[in-house]
Amino acid sequence: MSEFVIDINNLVFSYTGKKPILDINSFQLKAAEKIFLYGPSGCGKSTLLGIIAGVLRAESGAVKIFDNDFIKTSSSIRDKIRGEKMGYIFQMFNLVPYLSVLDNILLPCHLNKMRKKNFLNKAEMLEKAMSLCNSFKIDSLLKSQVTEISIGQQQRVAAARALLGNPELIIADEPTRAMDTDLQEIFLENLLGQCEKQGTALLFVSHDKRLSKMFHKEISLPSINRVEQ
Amino acid sequence: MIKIIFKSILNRKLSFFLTLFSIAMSIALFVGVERVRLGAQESFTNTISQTDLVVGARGSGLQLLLYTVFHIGNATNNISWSTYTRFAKRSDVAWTIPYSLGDSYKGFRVVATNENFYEHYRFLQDKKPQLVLGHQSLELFDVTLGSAVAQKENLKIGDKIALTHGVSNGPGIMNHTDKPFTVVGILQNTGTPLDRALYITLEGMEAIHIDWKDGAPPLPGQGTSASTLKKENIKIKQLTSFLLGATSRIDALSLQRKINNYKPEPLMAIIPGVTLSELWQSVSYVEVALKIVTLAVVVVGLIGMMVAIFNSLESRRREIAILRAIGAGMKNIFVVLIAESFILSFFGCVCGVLLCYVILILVRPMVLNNFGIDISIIFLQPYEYLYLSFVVVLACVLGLVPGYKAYKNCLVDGLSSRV
Repeated sequence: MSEFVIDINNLVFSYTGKKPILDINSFQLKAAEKIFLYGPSGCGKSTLLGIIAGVLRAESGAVKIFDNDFIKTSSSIRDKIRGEKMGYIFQMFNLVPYLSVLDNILLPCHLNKMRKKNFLNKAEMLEKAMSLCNSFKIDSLLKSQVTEISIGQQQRVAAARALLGNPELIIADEPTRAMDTDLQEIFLENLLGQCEKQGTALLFVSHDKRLSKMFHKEISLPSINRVEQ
Repeated sequence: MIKIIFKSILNRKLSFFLTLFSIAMSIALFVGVERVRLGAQESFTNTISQTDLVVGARGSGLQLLLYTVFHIGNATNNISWSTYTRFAKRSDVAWTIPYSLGDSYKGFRVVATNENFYEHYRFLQDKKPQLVLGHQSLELFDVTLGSAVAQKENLKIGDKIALTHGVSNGPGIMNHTDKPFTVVGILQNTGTPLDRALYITLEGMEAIHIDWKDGAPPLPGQGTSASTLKKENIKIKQLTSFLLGATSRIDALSLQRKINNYKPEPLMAIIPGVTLSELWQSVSYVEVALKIVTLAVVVVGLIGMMVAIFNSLESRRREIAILRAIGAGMKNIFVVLIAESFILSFFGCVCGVLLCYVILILVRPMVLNNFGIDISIIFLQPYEYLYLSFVVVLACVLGLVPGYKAYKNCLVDGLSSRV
């Protein structure tokens, strides 16, 4: 097991029939490391996250995620690894609208057997979920419909969902974009604190450089992407 | 996973139930046509049992069967009483039921017959007509009512009614008001055309037409009055048709040939079952055409379902991206979409069949009243279960189309948050 959670070398990616939009010489993320990835809109950051999450497949280069070759492995294995070891937070609309807050949080553990195995039993899973909710201050909303809660609350629910079941990597795709500045910092503090507590690596993407001060490492995507935008 | 599928469907209740309804309607139509066909066949087959031959004047066999047994259409010619007695007395004839038809009462047929009818007529394999009230018609102006007649016209024992000359609904051109009949008996409900007829004696039929010349009644005051007529004095001259039971099935065939070749009078004998199957054969083209149409309706319903699911994908891109992000593979997404097709088509079939039976039960009395056909309620046949499961399988196959579209969407979307 290498020390890297993400180990990308000589990655080239293009959508079918179009010119490449990503050409990255090298990008690494160590276990429990927290990286702020800066990227203005349209620089290919969503594409990069898609590749790391295993939803998109690059055609050349080396993409090793948890030591798995994401260029060669089948999509079902990539899906499995994503479900088991990753948590993903979108900018907004993270939640399945017809499930309650608690059901949304438990969803990844219900969907992935391996992730569920991190808990001894259902009671422990619920207990962990409750403690996460507590630290994100959403424990009063558990029975609510997700359509009834504010965007800030939704994002905290999404963070709790991503963290439940001890994933090794959280990918956050501008999760604070729809929040005002005060909330952004509180949210980020919360998220970083929980990642620290669980020993989870965090890849945080944003176009907002002000947030970078809270991370110990900052990478600018345009500077590592050799494709001119 | 199952929870997600159901919750997702419930999230789109209205569209789901509309789609379900359209599939249920198409299935109801599909199953309904078959129900009506089988029900009508069974009801026809159950109307007459144990009768080997139906004998009447030469013409169309189907027509003979329809007017004699099912009270549909009219006879074109009669047969003479002497010919009837000649065959009735044969040693290979076990029994006969003579019928004299042609009059009606408020649209219901009047059947003139004799005690043989009550003795030998059989329907539903081995049931015979039973009286619930009173006794069978014995006297000249006695009438026994089928249950539907008694019920609809609200008649009871002792009521006097005037029959109508000829067969007509509502007020007839000419009523036999000078010779009213008295209700003496009411038959049990049988669920066959028996219920929709009135039974008088053969002599009674002759009596109301006595003194008639060339199909016209005598001038007022010139006819014999009802009070002077005696049953014993009336001679029956002709019949419309008669049912015949042979002493053995084999005799029936040779009897049929003998009757068909009878020289003194142009007669015809038919085997009810054979003529019925000829009837089904002659309408089978219509059946096939109907079946094709209903099948097309089912396919259209399923395509409608596919389109509905397909259209829902656009608004579910988020939902699918979320599921993908938390580890759902394309396989899971396919499963969700195909499961939706499966649920829709499966419950569509269930609801459709139920709907079909509800409609059938509702329209049954109407059809019986207007067409005299009692559609028996028949359960689904094994081959229909096969059809229905084929519908479900087809729906699942069609479910692949939106599944493929979702797959394409995912390739384009990745995990990017498109709203």
